[in-house]
Amino acid sequence: MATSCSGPILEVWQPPSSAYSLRIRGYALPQAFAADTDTTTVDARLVLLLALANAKAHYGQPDARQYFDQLQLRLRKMRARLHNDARYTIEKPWRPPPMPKIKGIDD
Amino acid sequence: MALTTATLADLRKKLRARLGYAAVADTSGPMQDLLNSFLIDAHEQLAIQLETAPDRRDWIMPLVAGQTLYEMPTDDCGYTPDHERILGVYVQVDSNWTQLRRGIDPTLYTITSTGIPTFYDIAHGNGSA
Repeated sequence: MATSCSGPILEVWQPPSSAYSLRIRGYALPQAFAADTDTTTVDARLVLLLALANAKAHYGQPDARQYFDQLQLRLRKMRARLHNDARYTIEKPWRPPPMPKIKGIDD
Repeated sequence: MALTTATLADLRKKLRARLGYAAVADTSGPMQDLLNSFLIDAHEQLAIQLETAPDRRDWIMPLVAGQTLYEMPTDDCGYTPDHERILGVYVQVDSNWTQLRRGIDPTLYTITSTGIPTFYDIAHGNGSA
């Protein structure tokens, strides 16, 4: 059970009357990435590109900009592919606004 | 594009080579600390920026009768939900799933009877001052 000093914690209301199942849907915290044997949670190629761009900038190597550009391109492609084959439509079909009536002609 | 993973040691070796320090031994020291910091910072930055499908998960946990506070669960793969990126919380009664609304108004604490949870929130402790 969570203590009063722990956090963050999940609170539900009303107190459950029975052992119901609870489903939490969301995104995971990245796993530890500090020891030599820890593996990346995000794509390793992206991590290497960003680290390389920053390291080259740190050392004043002139090709740092190229790695930033490669990273941005790869990020854009990855984000675009996350949409898979989803199609986005507006709720109501668009119709052009009605033509204003001209006094003396349309009345 | 399939997700690729690599260890910190593998990435450090590649980073060292691409920077032109391939001949320098990979021993602990300032160089290794510096390269690790670049990699760890990059990993943290990208984890915030990129929400990929593999990171989206469901955690299913049993509630305990009468208990309102729960630690964030960790699943069998070692993942814990990010409390800032929860998409929804659902409770199963018999075989029906219903969604809980986020936000518990303190006036609700007046009612102390048990029942089916209908609200949830992310708290940081309910200790007394």
